[in-house]
Amino acid sequence: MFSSSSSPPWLRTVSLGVGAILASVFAFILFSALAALLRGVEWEFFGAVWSPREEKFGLLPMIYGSLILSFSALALGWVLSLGCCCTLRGLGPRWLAKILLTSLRFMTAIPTVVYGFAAVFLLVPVIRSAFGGSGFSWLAAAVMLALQGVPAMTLTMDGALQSIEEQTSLTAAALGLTPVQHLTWVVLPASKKWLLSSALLGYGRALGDTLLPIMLAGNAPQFAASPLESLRTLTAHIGLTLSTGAGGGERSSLLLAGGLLLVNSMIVSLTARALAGRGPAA
Amino acid sequence: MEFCVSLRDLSVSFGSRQILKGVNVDFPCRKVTVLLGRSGSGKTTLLRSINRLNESFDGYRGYGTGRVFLDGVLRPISGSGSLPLSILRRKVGMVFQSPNPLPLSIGKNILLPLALVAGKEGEEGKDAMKKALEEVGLWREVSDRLDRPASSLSGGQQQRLCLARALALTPEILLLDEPTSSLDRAAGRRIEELIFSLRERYSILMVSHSLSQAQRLGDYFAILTEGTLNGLLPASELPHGAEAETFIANLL
Ligand SMILES: Nc1ncnc2c1ncn2[C@@H]1O[C@H](COP(=O)(O)OP(=O)(O)OP(=O)(O)O)[C@@H](O)[C@H]1O
Ligand SMILES: [Mg+2]
Repeated sequence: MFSSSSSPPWLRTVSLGVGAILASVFAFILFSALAALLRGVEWEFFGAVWSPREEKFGLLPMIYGSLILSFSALALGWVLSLGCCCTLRGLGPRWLAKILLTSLRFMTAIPTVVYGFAAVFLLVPVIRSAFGGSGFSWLAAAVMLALQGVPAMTLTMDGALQSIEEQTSLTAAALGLTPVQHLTWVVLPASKKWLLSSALLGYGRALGDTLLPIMLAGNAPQFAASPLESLRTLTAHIGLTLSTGAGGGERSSLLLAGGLLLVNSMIVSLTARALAGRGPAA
Repeated sequence: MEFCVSLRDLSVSFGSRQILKGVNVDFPCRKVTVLLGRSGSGKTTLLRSINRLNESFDGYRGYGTGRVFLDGVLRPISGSGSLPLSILRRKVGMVFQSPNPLPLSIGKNILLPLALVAGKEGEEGKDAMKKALEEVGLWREVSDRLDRPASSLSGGQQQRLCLARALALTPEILLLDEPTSSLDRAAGRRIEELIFSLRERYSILMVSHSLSQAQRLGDYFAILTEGTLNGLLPASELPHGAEAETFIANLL
């Protein structure tokens, strides 16, 4: 009662309005995805072949592409972020931590397209000359998605680590633990939940990213078996198909793809919240 | 008189503020010495200069000499000839003003320092943990939930856990910084009884805000006034009852 009366009426109206708009967008996407699914039984949306000319609109290669790309990018990015965190929290020399923090802050401000651009001219040729092929591959996209995710993941992880470190450093020191022992045996285990929820958020971001997969993954609607092969993600698929003008089955498949992405990110953010909510207060 | 800690002209400042101003004192072995003083007089700082915990803070500067008697040898607290930091802190256990369990399970709170600092792992570690928990009367209360978070214990239980954690590392000196100040009466009494039972095996330096508690437990008293401390007062020289209060109040 106290808190509701302390927020001005216009603020409540605005937040209600924004909430309603968001809810209707979500509802629209989910309903059209459902409708597409029901109407398009003959289009085999969960089939393995995408070939609009043959009237085959299978999304399975894209679902597969999205999942393996975001998982691999997450695995790489999460390990890198953890390494960065440990460096920031005193495992590395101080000057390195300072440089790292500055560059991470700087990296958060770089637009995604710059990452893509840099990779096209730097990373892709390296992959091409080292392993053959075109270089536009699962590997190129995964590396850049991982790098792009590192700053945000590191800074969220580090927030949790720092608060636990501050709460416990004197206790650990009084027991005779060295700062490194303190970090590895007390701070990291105690921040398990945050490490996990930052991984979930990183996964959600990697799954939702469109530009990097479009620019780097090669976009072949196929089941990539090796990191050097090309793949297409759901997001890239939506972007590409929409821009070439789509109708009928193509359009319906896009609505379904959007619905799948939305459901996935809803699950991710709900899980992340449930995890963070259960932890001790930071 | 044998002493466990000897401080000479000990001064400590943080930044430009001098907290301890030339403390001279010898704390006796295997006795309870109670540190009395106003809030902010530097009692915690004095305890922390014995296990070098002040060094964890920014702006710390220390002068003078301190020596500890550990393992039958008198050594400087810091500088050449001193013990490695983690061994010093293992031998000089500390219990803080408010309970400070690590955000781990009850068992891990004791097992982890045992493994990392004392090198006792596996069964050896578990035995040492059990012994320490029994010593503080906590074993029966927690033996079936050692893997639950330490934060699930009550304040008094947490403080006994912290005491057990220090005892498990087989210290010779115990620094107790107002160990009962954040507890209710009954839990505080419990800790007092514990301290009383430990007094013959450990050299105990204890800060207390309560004069009656100090009188119940102390063999000696040290009175810190605005960062200075000179000598000890044996319990026998302290007047009894209400007189003691005015006597101490005059000294503070
Ligand atoms: N790390 C620090 N940095 C700066 N000042 C400090 C630090 N630790 C203590 N002080 C200052 O030193 C003075 C003495 O602090 P200390 O904690 O030793 O007092 P105390 O006698 O234990 O008080 P209390 O009875 O309230 O616990 C205080 O004025 C405090 O502000
Ligand atoms: Mg204090």
